[in-house]
Amino acid sequence: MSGRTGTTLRFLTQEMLRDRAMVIATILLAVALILAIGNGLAALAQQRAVIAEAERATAASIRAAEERARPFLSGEIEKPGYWLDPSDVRGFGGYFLVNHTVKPPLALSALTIGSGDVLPRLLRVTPGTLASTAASYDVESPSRLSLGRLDASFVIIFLLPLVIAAAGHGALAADREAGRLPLLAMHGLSPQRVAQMRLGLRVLTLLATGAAAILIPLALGGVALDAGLAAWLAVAVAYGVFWAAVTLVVISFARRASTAAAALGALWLILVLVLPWCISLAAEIAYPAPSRVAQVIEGRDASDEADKARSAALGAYLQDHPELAGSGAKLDPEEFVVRQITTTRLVDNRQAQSDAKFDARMAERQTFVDGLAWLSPPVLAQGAMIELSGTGLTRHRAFVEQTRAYVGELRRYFEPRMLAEDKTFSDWNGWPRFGWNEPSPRDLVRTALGRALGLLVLAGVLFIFATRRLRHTRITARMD
Amino acid sequence: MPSASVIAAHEVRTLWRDGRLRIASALAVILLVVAVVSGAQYQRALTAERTQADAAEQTRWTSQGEKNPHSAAHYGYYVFKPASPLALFDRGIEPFTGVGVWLEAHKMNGFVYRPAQDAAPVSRFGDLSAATILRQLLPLLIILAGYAMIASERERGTLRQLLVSGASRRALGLGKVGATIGSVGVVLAPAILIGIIAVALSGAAPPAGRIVALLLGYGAYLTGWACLTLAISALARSARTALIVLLGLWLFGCVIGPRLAGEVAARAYPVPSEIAYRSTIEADLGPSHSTERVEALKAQLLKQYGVATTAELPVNWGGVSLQAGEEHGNAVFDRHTGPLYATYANQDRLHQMLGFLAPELAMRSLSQAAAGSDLAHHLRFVTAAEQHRRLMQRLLNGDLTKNAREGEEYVVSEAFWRTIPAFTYTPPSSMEALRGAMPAILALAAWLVGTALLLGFALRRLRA
Repeated sequence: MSGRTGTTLRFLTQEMLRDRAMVIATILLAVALILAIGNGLAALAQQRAVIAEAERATAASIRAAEERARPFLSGEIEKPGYWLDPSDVRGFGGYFLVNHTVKPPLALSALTIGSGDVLPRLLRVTPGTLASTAASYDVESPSRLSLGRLDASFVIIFLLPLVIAAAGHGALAADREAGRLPLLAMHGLSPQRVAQMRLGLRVLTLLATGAAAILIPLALGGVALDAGLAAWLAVAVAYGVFWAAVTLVVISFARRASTAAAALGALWLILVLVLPWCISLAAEIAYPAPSRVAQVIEGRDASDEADKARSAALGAYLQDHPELAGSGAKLDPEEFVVRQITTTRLVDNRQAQSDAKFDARMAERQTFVDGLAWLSPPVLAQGAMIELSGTGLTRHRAFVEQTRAYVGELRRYFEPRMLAEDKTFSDWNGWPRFGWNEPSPRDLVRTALGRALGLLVLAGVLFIFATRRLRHTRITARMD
Repeated sequence: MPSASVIAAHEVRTLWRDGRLRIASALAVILLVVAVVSGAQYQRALTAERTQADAAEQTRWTSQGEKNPHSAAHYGYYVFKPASPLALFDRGIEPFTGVGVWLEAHKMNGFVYRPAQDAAPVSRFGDLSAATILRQLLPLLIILAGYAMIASERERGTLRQLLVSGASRRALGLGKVGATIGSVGVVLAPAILIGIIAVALSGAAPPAGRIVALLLGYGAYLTGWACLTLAISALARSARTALIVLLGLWLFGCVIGPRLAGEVAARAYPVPSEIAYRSTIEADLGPSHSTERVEALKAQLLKQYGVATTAELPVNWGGVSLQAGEEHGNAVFDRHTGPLYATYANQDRLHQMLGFLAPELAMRSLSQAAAGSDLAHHLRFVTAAEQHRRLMQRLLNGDLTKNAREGEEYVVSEAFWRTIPAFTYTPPSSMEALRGAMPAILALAAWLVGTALLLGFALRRLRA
């Protein structure tokens, strides 16, 4: 660093520290981030507590069932109806078992709540119907959900651009309005250099403050720095750099600080509010979600058909389970459990077709949104942050898939036992438990870094454009 | 001596000459028209879909064939929430509530399929509805139109000329507020016109009271923003300072404030976790077909009729015990859903109270209440659906109690299903709906009066 650059930087640093707008912007950013991360960490702790509660509920239900079954198994008390008897596999599987599949929150969800508040984090499952997996959610007021959450992503996506604009909109116009540009030029400082150094210093200060306001509370909350967090920070920094470049472009056009502020406000409005609204609306129009109401009606139709075709359904079931056909068990299609198993199977098949159609349409919609996201850096950054934090649709789809597979496993365990002649149950620890299989984050990290790189390239293009314009800035003492 | 109308006319001409404002206004008009048209399409599709689904469910119910009434109780009945005619303007909390609920024996089920659950995460940026544009974008347009109106005149020295020429401060304030509101009115007019046509075409005209409440509410809200903008423009040392202060206030009031309010209300009135809520209800319900409770009831009934066995009873024991189970369940559901809904309502009330600090929240509450898309409307529908479930169970169990004989198979003919009344829902009247939004109405009134007083104060101490 040459002596002149060092002196200039010292001067700009002192000036920055004296600038009330900059100080307020920095404090605002830090306070907002600390508040948001506090909120996120509280939500994370709450989710973990709920999962522990679910595990305790399952353990308690098994203990209670075992205790209740003991006198029935020993013959001390005569067995009641199977729905009151956990020593009967139909009673245990259908009435006494309290069991959940759980999507454990990633530590990064403390930064981005995303769709985590509207997607279920655990599902109550039994060997019975799968329908509940698509229709369950946590207890939460819809009013609160509609207001949105104050998390670190919100601060970065919505506030950081404004903070950068507040700190940087006068990076050149202030000197021009005060008539200082000729004076600075006499010291060998061109308008381009002044604007770049002043804006660069301020943006760096803001990003460093922001990083500290994120990393320190996270470290105190026990969240370790890993590839996911590093990628999240890379996206946030790239997004900040993009807005710094936008600010530089505006500075290169605006002759007055108030004009620069108004232009940056308008750009923020268009990029952060209007374009995402338009993308969301375009996605809804281009790829409307299949009607859930129609899906409910289809499910009811399937249930009616299955009920009418009970005997045929039992035949089909036995075709898939020949071991039961020759087991000596007398299977009556009118018996409640037999009816439930066979009709559930038909309804689930129909539900699976309808779900597949729905999922395919949603995937098409998401691909469409991902494509349009390149038009709107906030959407691009938000999408990457949500996926990295595991609070988006990708991880949720994996959860639903794993839940479906697990229900299949439960059925393979319970159904033959429910249909066998001897229905006694005492396998308290042997029934299959759900184990969450975390999808590899490698692809998500790669996608996020790709998006961060895209934002940096975009910022680079804007930076070059602004620099070229600033080179031709007229240096006059006149106030325009 | 320039009057308020002369000042207003001059300001409107100046604003119209400003190309940036013309572009911003055009953008706002386009967005509003898109929002109203897409909202109308959404509302029409939703209404048609739910009307068809209701009819399909009713047909399914009445043509289920000969069956035991309790089998029919388990077969159940789906009801779907109707779309309010004004949902085209403000969808409110609708994306965060389910589309319908299954009414069946023994259980008070939750609403299924929240649209937000199926939406792409980009939708969390917000909903492009006419109400969102009016609440969030138009204040910004007012700020852009008005932040320099007084501050720039002072900077250019024209304010002194204006005051010396005899313009009163009152005329100055009225003229400039009038010009700001007028320029926003130009943006609003086409959207209001299209909105009225869309509502008229929907065939389900909303009560006039709701439309009047929306017009007055948004009028007060936007006039408040105009007064605040001019007050800050008069008080600030420069147009730049005025703009930054106003953008900060807008950011807090319209973007950060609502989210912060959500967090504050959730802390003040926490809801239980899903597991805690469900497991407490299950524990209170007791084991399925609980023997102790049933045996006690049986003993009481046998004693009441002076018989030894249930077969000797003049009523069917199965029907009696099923209805007793329903009543036990109903009491348990009321004990738990009551406090939960009260917590939701308390959160909602706190949001409205916080509208005194962030008027967007107050406007949001009033707008949703008038549009029929707020929490109160949702809970009313939930309650109506649950009442219908209870009525169905009572009628089905009543038939069993009266007509079934112990030990004999009992089925009713298809004609019986038609005696169960179809589900009907009456939304609250305009007055009822608005009564629940009273804190929001007061907050908006305070906002309008407060900003007008601030403008008066700023104009009184105005120095050229």
